[in-house]
Amino acid sequence: MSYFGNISKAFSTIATGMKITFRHFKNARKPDGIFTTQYPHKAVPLPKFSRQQLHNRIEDCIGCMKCANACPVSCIYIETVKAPAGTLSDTSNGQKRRLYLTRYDIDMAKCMFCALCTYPCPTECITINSDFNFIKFERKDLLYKFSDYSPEQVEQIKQEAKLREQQEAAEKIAKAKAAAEAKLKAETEAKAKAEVPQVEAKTEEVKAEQKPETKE
Amino acid sequence: MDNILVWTMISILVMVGLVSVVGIISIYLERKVSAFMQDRLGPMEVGFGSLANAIIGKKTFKEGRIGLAQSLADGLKLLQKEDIVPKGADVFLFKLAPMIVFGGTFAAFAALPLAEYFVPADINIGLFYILAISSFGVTGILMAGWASNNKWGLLGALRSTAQMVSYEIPIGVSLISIVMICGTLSLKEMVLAQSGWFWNWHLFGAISHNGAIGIVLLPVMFINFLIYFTCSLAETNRAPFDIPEAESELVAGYHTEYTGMRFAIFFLAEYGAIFVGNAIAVTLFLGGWNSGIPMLDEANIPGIAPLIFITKVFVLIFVVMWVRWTLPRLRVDQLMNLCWKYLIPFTLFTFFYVTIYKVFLT
Ligand code: SF4
Ligand code: SF4
Repeated sequence: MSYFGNISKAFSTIATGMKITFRHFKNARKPDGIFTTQYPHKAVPLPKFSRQQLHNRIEDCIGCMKCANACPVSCIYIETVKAPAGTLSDTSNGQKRRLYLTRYDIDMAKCMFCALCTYPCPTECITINSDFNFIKFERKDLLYKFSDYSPEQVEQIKQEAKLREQQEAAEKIAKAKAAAEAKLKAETEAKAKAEVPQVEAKTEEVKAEQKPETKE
Repeated sequence: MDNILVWTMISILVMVGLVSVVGIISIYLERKVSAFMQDRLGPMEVGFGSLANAIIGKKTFKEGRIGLAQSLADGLKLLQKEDIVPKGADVFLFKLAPMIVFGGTFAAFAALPLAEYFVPADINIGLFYILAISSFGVTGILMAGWASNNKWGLLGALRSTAQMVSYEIPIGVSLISIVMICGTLSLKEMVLAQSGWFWNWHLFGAISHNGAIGIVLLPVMFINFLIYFTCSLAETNRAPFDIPEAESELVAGYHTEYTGMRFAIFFLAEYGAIFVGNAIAVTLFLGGWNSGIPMLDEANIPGIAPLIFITKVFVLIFVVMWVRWTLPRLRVDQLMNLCWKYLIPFTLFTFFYVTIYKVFLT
């Protein structure tokens, strides 16, 4: 390109570029001229089914472990303790709750937001919502604890369950003992009945044995 | 006489404030202009009220804020930052460098003619003084790059020096044309020569000096102005000539290692230098404090002359920003190419043109 051609090209390209930026500068005053959303104050609504944060309505959870089994990364931790019948209220859709949920933790740091855990739930208590703003300063804070028992209560529940278990075991043993005793009794009675003819047979045998000896 | 002395005192004080105020305003403008050109909003959160509240430890938000106090808040933040001197740095030079850079810019402010009685230092070689003292900053930049013991810093400083030294030549030559026409180096007299209607400005030739025949200088003066403007971009390390600070290649160039207030001083000095560069353009080519309409100048409204001057400078600063957010950065060889093959021949041409005009037509 020639020397002056270079210069004219420089001018024309600069003018083109400057025109474009000035147009944007001017359009900044129009409502659709600016693309910034001032986030914390205004937010673009998320799609209706966007998957962000898991929530569990713990009063409806029956502790069936279906969600924990469905999770591909195993980030739901459930521990349950058997409850005596009638102590826990029913769920909102009428299912019986028979287990104390002593632990129901979801590790959101491991979760990959697939929502696979929400489908198998029989009571529809585990849900995924659109609340994406759950930044934490420490990783351990991302372990969400949904169980509504305090550690002391958990301890108490466990101990009560243990006591109940022991009681049941003791009852069982007692029952078994009684059953065994009854069995023994029945057996001895039967034996006693059968013993009498046996003795007679024996004496006959003895007699029969002795007889050939005497013949010789 | 007393009157002039008082005015001089006041103007010196005003200048001291002006440097930092100009820096703060230009930084704010830069952020807003760049934001609007990229379809963004720029600073929106920090108004003066919320800044005051933040200082006493309260968080507030009000609708409709446009972030006017953002630069001030940034300055406050930088004041509190740790002042780090890197291991292996030349401590003395490292600490001296920002002061030299800022000193060069500040000293240049002293000779700017804001109004007829508003020249802090009215020296008869004003233009020469400003050119000399603002080139002084190169020393500080080289010092900063060398002393920080950092390869990015050193590369930036080298590039900056090469660039500034070569762009001094077209600047000097293009300004000599004006000096030839005016026959003086005093900035104040140059502005006085451009009073009256706007066609008296040197951008449109030399009409105020030689009457209608001065119009033959119009094309060369336009070229001169363009060349001066381009070179002042390069002198102040602005895009598209920002290779000394090239963010994507050199981190931050010569001030890579600087933190806190020292960094802020470099920043202020940079914007101060932009102001000085454009103030010279306004003084020499665009009539300085003259509004271009004699009735307005003769109305003698107090304070209007400096206002006109500063408005003109800020219009030019807007153009500088506009250029920055439009054009991509030049490569080093392109930079030297532009200077030596295009700008210098053209300035020499205009220089001879003006010489011939001066000798044969007046
Ligand atoms: S969303 Fe997916 S990864 Fe997260 S807990 Fe549920 S099943 Fe597991
Ligand atoms: S599937 Fe539903 S009811 Fe079962 S343990 Fe998980 S959350 Fe609870």
